[in-house]
Amino acid sequence: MPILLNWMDKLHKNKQFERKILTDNIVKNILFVVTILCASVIVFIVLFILLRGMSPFINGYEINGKIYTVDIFKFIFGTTWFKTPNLYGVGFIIVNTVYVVSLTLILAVPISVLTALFITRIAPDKVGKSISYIIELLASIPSIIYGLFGLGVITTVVKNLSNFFGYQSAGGISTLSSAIVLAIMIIPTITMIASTSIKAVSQDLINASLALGASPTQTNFKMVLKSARSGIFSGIILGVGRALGEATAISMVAGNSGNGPTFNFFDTTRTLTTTMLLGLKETTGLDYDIRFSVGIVLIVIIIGSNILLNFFNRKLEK
Amino acid sequence: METVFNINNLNLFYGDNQVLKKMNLSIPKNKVTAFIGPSGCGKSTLLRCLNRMNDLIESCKITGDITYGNTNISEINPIELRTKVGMVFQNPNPFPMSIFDNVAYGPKCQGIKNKAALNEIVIEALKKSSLYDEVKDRLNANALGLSGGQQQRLCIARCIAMKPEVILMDEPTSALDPIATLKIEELLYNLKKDYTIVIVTHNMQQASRISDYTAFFLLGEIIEFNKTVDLFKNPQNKKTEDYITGRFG
Amino acid sequence: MRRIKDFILNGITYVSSGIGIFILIAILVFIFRNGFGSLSMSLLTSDYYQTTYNTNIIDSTFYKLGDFEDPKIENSFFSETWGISLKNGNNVAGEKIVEINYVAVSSPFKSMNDVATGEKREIGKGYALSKIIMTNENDDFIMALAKDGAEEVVKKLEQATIITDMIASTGGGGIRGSLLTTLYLIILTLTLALPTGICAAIYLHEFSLNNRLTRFIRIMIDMTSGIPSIIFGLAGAVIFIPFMNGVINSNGGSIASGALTLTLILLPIIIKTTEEALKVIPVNYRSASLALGASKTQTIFKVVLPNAVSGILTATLLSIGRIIGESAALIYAVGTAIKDNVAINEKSTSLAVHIWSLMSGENPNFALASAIAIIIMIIVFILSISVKLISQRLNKIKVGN
Repeated sequence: MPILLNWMDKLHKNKQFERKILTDNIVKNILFVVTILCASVIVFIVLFILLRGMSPFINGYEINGKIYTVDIFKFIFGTTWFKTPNLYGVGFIIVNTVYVVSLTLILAVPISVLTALFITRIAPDKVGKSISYIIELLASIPSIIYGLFGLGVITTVVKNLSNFFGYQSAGGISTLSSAIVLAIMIIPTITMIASTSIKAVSQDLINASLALGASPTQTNFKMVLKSARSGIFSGIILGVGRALGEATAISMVAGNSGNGPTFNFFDTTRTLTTTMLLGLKETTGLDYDIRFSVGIVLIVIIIGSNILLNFFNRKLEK
Repeated sequence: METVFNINNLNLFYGDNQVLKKMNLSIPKNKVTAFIGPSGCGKSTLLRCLNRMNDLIESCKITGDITYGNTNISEINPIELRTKVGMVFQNPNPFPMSIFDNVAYGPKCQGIKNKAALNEIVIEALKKSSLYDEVKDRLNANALGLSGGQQQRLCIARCIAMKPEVILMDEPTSALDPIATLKIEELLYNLKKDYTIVIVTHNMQQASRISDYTAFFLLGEIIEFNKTVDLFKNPQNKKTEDYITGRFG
Repeated sequence: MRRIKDFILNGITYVSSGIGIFILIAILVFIFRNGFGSLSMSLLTSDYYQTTYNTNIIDSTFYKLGDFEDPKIENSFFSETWGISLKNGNNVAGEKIVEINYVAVSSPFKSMNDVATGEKREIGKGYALSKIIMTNENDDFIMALAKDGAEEVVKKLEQATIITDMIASTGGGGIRGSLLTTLYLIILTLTLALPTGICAAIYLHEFSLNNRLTRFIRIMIDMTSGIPSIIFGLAGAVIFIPFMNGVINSNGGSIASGALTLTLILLPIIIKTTEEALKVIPVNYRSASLALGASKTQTIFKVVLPNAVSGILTATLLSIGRIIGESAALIYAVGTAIKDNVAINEKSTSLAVHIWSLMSGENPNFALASAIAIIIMIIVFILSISVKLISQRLNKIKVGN
């Protein structure tokens, strides 16, 4: 009889253990499916935008009795963007976007790198940490508030500046305002990454430099920056990505000009993101769908610039 | 015997911890002086005093003095001092730049910009470090691609490019294989005609091979200082004898 | 010569850092100066849209006029005839108004005729009077306007026996709708995103093998975090709006479609932060649990997750910050219509999108926008400090291990 009880007990326990393993497998599979879903988010996003964005070039839209399809070549190389009479050209907008982001980098990179150098190597410990925290705080401010600040303050400054140069600007809404606002937004990003790279330069190398009779400042500018160059460049690449994708803040200070490209600092400009965001009146129709086409262009430009800049980074390393 | 450094009653503290105790020593000119002794006895610490690298450590305090030539070291601008007293470290630490830029770094910091002048300085330094033949075709290649021994010779070339009077070496071969070590020992033998060399080493055989004078350190004190031949053949102090014969350390 | 060069180089690093500090201060000063005046409890609780009522009291035989007791409220002017107290004030947009701040229990104002609906309506405390047309005993017309000021209006009221036409409004410039919307968005999004993200993090850290597939999955998730939010907005509009239209009977954008879009944005953040928290937990804990005969699932739920709580909390706080700050994605996935009555299957604006709506029209309202900005900044600041405190505690645990 005890043998029977023993045997039944073992059977019961075996079933328990089998059940545990079964549970583990079920859980693992469920979690796997969830993970695959998360990973495929990007695929769905690109797919759906592609589908809707290709529509203006393929389907006909009825507007005021006529049927319109957008010519893809006129779209890519066009220099005007007007809703009526459906003159949609994104060519000049691409040029504008690259131009504004370049201006942004010219403003943001020196300030970011120098600030990072200051925080990590020049300032006393507590001061460095405080400024570092201020930079982190700036990084967490939502873009709409930067846009508000841009509209309220930056445009006024630029307006006064343009008056000083005798040029009539549209109340400060301009290319320059856009570049300044974007620069303010990406400085925290680049500064934080540059700080990390600079901190990673080993004390050995710094000792070597000082032992050769270089002053601390020379060590910082000649050796530390050079050693941290690759990391700093990665930070810049991240900043470029952010600047290209920023929509809300720049839409408040750019103006959305109808043709271009615009190179004058004080003229209004139109970028890929402002085109997508401004003038959003209907949620169907050609004017809505064409924004998805612009979205495709934005994705291409972001991926393209990423690949290009990373290529340069690797070449510089050699 | 002409001396380059005179160390008088030097005490050094890291915070409350006394690391160097009442040191007295004179470093002879154009000779190789070796600092030997077990780990943690203050050899490297004293070495770092000679080019004021200890200034970088906040808790470090010194009493007594060191004179370089006729002047007290504390009265000389440390940056200027380091142009005359160079240092090579235990782990080769070339900058992540080209071989040329590494050697030219020091002179550039001193304001030498002329390309021809820099070229001359770099080639001469590399030749003196017995490295030129091995790298002459790839001066623009990244220095990190060199072997450990080559990197260390590069660091020596980098140091020599400054035309210092003294070269301080902190266990320069302990991270290298025997063949690379041998090459550097040969190099030191040639360098001593032009430079005063102070070398910290764990390797007693190395000390007896290459140095003219040897100082034996123990627990923050200098136990004995003499011509190398004499110190190793006839150590005056029993502790020295114990260390040399391997009874401890 | 080199000293001078060194000094200049050092100097420009000081200047650059100064610029960063200056910008933060400038932003804070700007929004406080413009918005502080508008901050008040009524801002948080009132409707955005003003409701204007057209009322009258024609038949005074139903009411007893006069002999109301003055409650003697400070800075107010009391009408004995009608039993109300008026004061000068500012509305939420900062404009001058004449506001009712007391109505006696038996005052006629408690039950006026609403011209539009024909029903009785109380025009009571908090209402702003724009215009009153009255007649006195001699049938003369008296008109009182808000710009006359409270004292003057009360004087005129004292002479009147009939109010033939009164225009009063309530509410206006409040952000209750947007506050509620933001809250709904946070709750909905976190409910969807947290479990999903945590599940993925658990799979990646506890179950996955380091093979090509896993590396591929990680790359895909990493790339998702680099997508700009407007692209998420486009995708959300084209994927979730039609989907929600079918499911919950919405018409165009809705809070629900917004929440789904925000979920996509937050997934990479939640996965990464949770994984970091999982990494901190020592392997020993897991080994001990498994050695006791627990299954992997039991180990995860009983041992690992409870210890990862601070990391999950960090992920939550970061997500809330992101939701509150998000604008471009919601403009597309939800819409920009400011609402007072908020429902999950309808459009509405979050706080950030409310600012966008205020500023993108013909008349940008800096005051109200800045007030909302102050609220957002305070929340962001609190979240930022909280995250920092939690990560400091996490680091202490790391060092302790």
